[in-house]
Amino acid sequence: MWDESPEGMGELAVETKNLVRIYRRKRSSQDSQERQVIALDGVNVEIPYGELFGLLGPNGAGKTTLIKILVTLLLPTSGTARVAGLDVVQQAYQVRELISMVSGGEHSGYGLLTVREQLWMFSQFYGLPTRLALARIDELLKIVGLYEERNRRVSDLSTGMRQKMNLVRGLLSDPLVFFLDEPTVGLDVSAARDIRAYIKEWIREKPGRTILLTTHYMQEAEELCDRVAIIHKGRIIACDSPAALRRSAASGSYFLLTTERLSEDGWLKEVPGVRRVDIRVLDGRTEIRLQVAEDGVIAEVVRALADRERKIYSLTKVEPSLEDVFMQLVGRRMEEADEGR
Amino acid sequence: MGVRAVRVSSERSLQRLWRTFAVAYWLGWQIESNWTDPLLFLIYSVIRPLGGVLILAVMFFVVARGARGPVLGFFVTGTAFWPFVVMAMQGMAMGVLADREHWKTLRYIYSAPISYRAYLVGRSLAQATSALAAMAITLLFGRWVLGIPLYFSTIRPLVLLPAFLLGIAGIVAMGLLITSALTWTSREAWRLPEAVGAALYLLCGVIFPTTVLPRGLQMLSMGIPLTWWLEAMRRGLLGEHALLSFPWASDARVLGTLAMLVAVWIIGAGFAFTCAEFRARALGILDQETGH
Ligand SMILES: Nc1ncnc2c1ncn2[C@@H]1O[C@H](COP(=O)(O)OP(=O)(O)OP(=O)(O)O)[C@@H](O)[C@H]1O
Ligand SMILES: [Mg+2]
Repeated sequence: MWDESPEGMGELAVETKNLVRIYRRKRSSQDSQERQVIALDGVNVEIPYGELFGLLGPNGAGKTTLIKILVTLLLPTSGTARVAGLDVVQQAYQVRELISMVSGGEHSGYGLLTVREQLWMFSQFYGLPTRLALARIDELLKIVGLYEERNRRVSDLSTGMRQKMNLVRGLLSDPLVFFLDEPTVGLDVSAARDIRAYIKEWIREKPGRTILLTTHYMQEAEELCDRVAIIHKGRIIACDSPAALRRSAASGSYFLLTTERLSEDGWLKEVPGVRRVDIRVLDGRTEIRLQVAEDGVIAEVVRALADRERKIYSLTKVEPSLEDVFMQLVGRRMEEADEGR
Repeated sequence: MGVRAVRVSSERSLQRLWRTFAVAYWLGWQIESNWTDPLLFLIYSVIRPLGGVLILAVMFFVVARGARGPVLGFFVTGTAFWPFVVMAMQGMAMGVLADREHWKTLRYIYSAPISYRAYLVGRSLAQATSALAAMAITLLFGRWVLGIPLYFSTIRPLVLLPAFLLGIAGIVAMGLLITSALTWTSREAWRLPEAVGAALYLLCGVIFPTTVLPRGLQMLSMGIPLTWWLEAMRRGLLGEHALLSFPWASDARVLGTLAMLVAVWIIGAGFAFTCAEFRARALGILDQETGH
């Protein structure tokens, strides 16, 4: 439970400094030799209040590890992490009052309880009076479209329903900082869409609410997040708004022009500022793909076309996707970078 | 933007402690009594303990060749109270394992602002409650069928009641210790509570007085609160007719020793649990399934 108020709990909802986490694992039970896995390798993240922050990265990048440290389930090997200005190691209990977490892709829940019983139980761990808790549970269940199932056993729910129930569980305590670890993984399109839609709505409802979400879906990060950090092998290799990230991969952005058929196109390369031209002819029209030094150059191209009395049917600027950004930074597509490949 | 947490007053956190315990107890009981078939529940909670008593009684008569009175009383009371130990210990240790591996809720419960210990005590006592039926059945059977010397006149509530409460506290401390030990043994975790239970069964004067044990083990058994608990319970129930592990000690001495040992074990278990918790967070095994 939390209030807005001028005096602070720090300016940042989440802040990590040089966070390192190393797992030590024995190869087998008899083996004395240990294998080290560096899951986080000096992570620095700053998330201001009110932000929907995304952590995007391939399998094994360290996303879950970072979340586990922030929700006090795991201790860092070195470095510090703060949530709402509180140290996650020294002040774990106070941190827990202000956060909650939902992980996707797992069948969590006491199968023998009903949806309502299960949610009530968790509400009690946050000290909600029963009447308030039940009212809130019903309200949230209605929002995620699970109200009809409220008296069904948790074990009878489908994967999507379970995930929605877990989302409600996470929201019951009205967390200040909400951690979502791959909330839509393994869900069908419509359930995933519902969950995304509600996440967006939830964070706007009350100023200060903050979300850290991990995903390995590019579109999810683009659609939801104010800022995205790309994490790879335990390091943050880029962090900015999706638009700025895409812009940073500027070499990837290009213009697409469709014109009346051009009989001759060699002159296009001569226009100052044009870097690369690719021409395709489609149903009697010419499609020109242009990479230019800066956006202004396109005006020159248009003028030159007008001089040659060629009609322009369309002109679009195509931005690179986050996939292109990842590709440029890592040199591989994201699914190729999954651990174990 | 500045945001501030609403402080939870200490009075409310005490309330929170109680509520955590109560909810955990409720959950434990839901799990324990989750019988879709009432007949199955009856068999489990009545017939099964009865069967246990019968088997033991037959064994007893074969071994003791029909001895009655104090020896039989010793035997029946030990058998009646032992399920508390097994259930409370298992309730806690298995509760953690089941939350982690089966229900997959451990990480959400652990990362809630609760005292995880209060939660565990609740789960533990919920299971122990189911031992009440076994206890009652065993005692009634012992009294009316086997004829142990248990009468209203032999019951001493001033010994029995404090002994019972102290014993429960001691059992919970044992459970906390075993649960802590689970973080060190991930592979054989499921077997640990049972193995420890079996060792304690032989050590703590459950079916034979500890005076039978070799000297070294006798000393060991005197350091375990369960031994004193059973002794105090027998004194409280059977009065003069009780066969004793510590005939030289007065009732007050037995209760005093029990209280002291329970206190020591609670502190020790609390400490062990803190270490185990730290270790679990350091290794990242709080929500890791052993199957991994
Ligand atoms: N408990 C553990 N013991 C040993 N190694 C671990 C443990 N948990 C994670 N790892 C390793 O740490 C690295 C990071 O794992 P993490 O789960 O944080 O990745 P992730 O980005 O969440 O991946 P995914 O997309 O698959 O969920 C991986 O190499 C993983 O194998
Ligand atoms: Mg993960």
